[in-house]
Amino acid sequence: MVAKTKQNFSSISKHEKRNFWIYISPWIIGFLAFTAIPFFSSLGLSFMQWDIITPPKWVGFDNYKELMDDKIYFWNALRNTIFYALVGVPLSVTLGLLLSILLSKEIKGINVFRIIFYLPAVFGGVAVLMLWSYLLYPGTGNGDAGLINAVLGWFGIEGPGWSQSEFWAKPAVILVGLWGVGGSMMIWLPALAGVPKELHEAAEIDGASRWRKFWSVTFPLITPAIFFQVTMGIIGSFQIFMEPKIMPGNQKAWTDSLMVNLFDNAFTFYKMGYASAIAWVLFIMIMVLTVINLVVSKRWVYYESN
Amino acid sequence: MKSLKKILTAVTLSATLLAAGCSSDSAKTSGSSGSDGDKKETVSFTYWGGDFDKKRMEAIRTEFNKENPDINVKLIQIPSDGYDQKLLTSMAGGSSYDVVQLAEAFNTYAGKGTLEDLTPYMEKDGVSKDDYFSAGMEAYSYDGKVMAMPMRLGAMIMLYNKDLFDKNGIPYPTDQWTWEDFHNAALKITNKQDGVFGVQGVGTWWANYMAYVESFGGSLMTKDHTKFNLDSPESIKGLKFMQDLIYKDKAAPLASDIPKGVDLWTSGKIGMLVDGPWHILSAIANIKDFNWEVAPIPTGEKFTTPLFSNAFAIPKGSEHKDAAWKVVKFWTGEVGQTILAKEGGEVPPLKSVANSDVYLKVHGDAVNLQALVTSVDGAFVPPITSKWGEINKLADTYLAPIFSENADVEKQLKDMKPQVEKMLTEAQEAK
Repeated sequence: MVAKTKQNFSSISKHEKRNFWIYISPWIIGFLAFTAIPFFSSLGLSFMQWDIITPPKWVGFDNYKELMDDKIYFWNALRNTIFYALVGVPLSVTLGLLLSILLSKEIKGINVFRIIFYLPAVFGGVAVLMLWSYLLYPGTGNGDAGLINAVLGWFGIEGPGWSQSEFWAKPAVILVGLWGVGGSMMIWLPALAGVPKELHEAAEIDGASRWRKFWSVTFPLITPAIFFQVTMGIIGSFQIFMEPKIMPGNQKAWTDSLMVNLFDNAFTFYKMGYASAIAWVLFIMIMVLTVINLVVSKRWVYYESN
Repeated sequence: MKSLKKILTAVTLSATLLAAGCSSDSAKTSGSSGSDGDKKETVSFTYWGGDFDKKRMEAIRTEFNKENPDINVKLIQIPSDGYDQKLLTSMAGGSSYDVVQLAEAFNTYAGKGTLEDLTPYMEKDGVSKDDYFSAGMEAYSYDGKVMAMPMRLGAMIMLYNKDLFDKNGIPYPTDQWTWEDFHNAALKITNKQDGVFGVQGVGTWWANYMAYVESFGGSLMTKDHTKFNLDSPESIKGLKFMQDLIYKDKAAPLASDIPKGVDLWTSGKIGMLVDGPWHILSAIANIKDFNWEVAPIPTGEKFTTPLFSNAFAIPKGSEHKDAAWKVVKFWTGEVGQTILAKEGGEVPPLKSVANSDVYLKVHGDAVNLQALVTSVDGAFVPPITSKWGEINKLADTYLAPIFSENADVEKQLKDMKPQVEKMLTEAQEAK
């Protein structure tokens, strides 16, 4: 079969071949212009000093050295980013799964709930983040400006200072991210639906509790989906940008992520080489984590084929 | 193999086409337009801002066209957000505009030698530096050469709520006001029960803290931009005065005391607002419930206040420098400045226009614009180096805890000093 396809390909008329390349050229050009060339340029730039106006100057590993010494911005941003990953990813995976289990129940009107919980994934971006920063505003002495703390107040809970407090600024960023957790049902729902009903029935006959059924039947069968969500979640949280940029802590140092640090260097300070070095350090970190994920996954992810 | 070659050719070809498309486009923006047969020279002119700015720029162009029918001014409006990025990338891309608007980025451009020295043009046409406010000229000079002409000036000022002054029986601020008078008034006006604060405008924004620090005789860095000076006794006195207003006197709101989306000043909860001149036009438009007025900020060791400004420059890459100079001269000259003056907002850099009734009496007797002119006249040029962005971020990092967490001033400055000096050294090396 393979050989035959190959043969067929080479016997395609020249005319067709030309058409093939013409049709596909927008994507090839797009890929080269917007992905491949910038990708390799940034690698080159990370060894240079470039302020956009004057020609780039080769500086070897200076940018990387400076990065390692930059305790106030780079290391701080790295710590914040790791916090977002460590706290945010387990939370969003767990909550996303729990929500999806609820939404997988075949009850009347379930589609309405699915739509409601999926909506945040449709509305996103800066406008929503601005609204969140209003919602999370701490109440003040003579008026509760922030709705969330006002509601907490009805129950006698004194809401935290959110972005105004060093302790709560990062959790606020994560919380806002969790709002869109329903978007992950696109992955969870099919995975849950893919668990064969017979297995559940068999377990039920054996007298398994709900809890037992989940851990012994559902969980192993959806490990590929969990693995996917964890991996994408880690990548996503290392690239977190909009949330800390739009709703920073009272001191930006509390919330700045690596991407925010990168953006500042590139587009506020015009240190393109330095920013490229940050991008490459970030890339390598994500790469290493993903490889570790892949290796570890062999121990706990179950694929039906093996 | 053969087909691979073809692909490569195709890709290269399309890339070349793309590039050619770009460059022909840029040629159009800076080249002369000969399409309609006449010999008009086209000057491309970028500026930032919104509708308000567009109206002003077009009004000046209409007057310019009457006197210079042979020059076609192509105005290119760029939103304020992202203006610097756009300008940088287009200049890096080799396409040069003929006139560009600049503010803080001026030093970076001038330092890189990308701007035309305007001094010879001024001498040739008899444009005298002395006709302009000195701070405006100083801000746009580099190594003693004028590299851009100021277009609009402003300075930190004080707006005050007359009703709150009357209520507490305090005489209105005068040009001779000291920080002590200011402090006393702030204490009297503050009324926790009504949510009224004596002062607003105590924070880490550069113009905010520099207004106090410079007036107290201190500064962020030494005059030659080589050493950190915020830890001098005078500077510390200024910073502590600010910190005390918040924590000791409770006369200025903490950031968390200001509900989001609520403007304490326009809702009449602030006695004195130390801020930029843009509040004047906004106050005229928005404040209906109380009487207000403008005054210069109080005097400390000396009277001084941070200058705000922007200017027009001619990039070295321009191919229409003489025509571009005519444009710059016209915009910053009497006709252009008079059009600006009629807005009654920012101060025209040309002294004769600023001191005329055209400007001072725009709003009748409703607003004391003389206070703003006095402020600009005594203003200092902010210490902008090519590391301005980085240094501001450092200030934000180290000074914010002073005003939002009552952090120890000396300790913050001790930590801040080596970081700022590192930037200053880098700025010197980059020269």
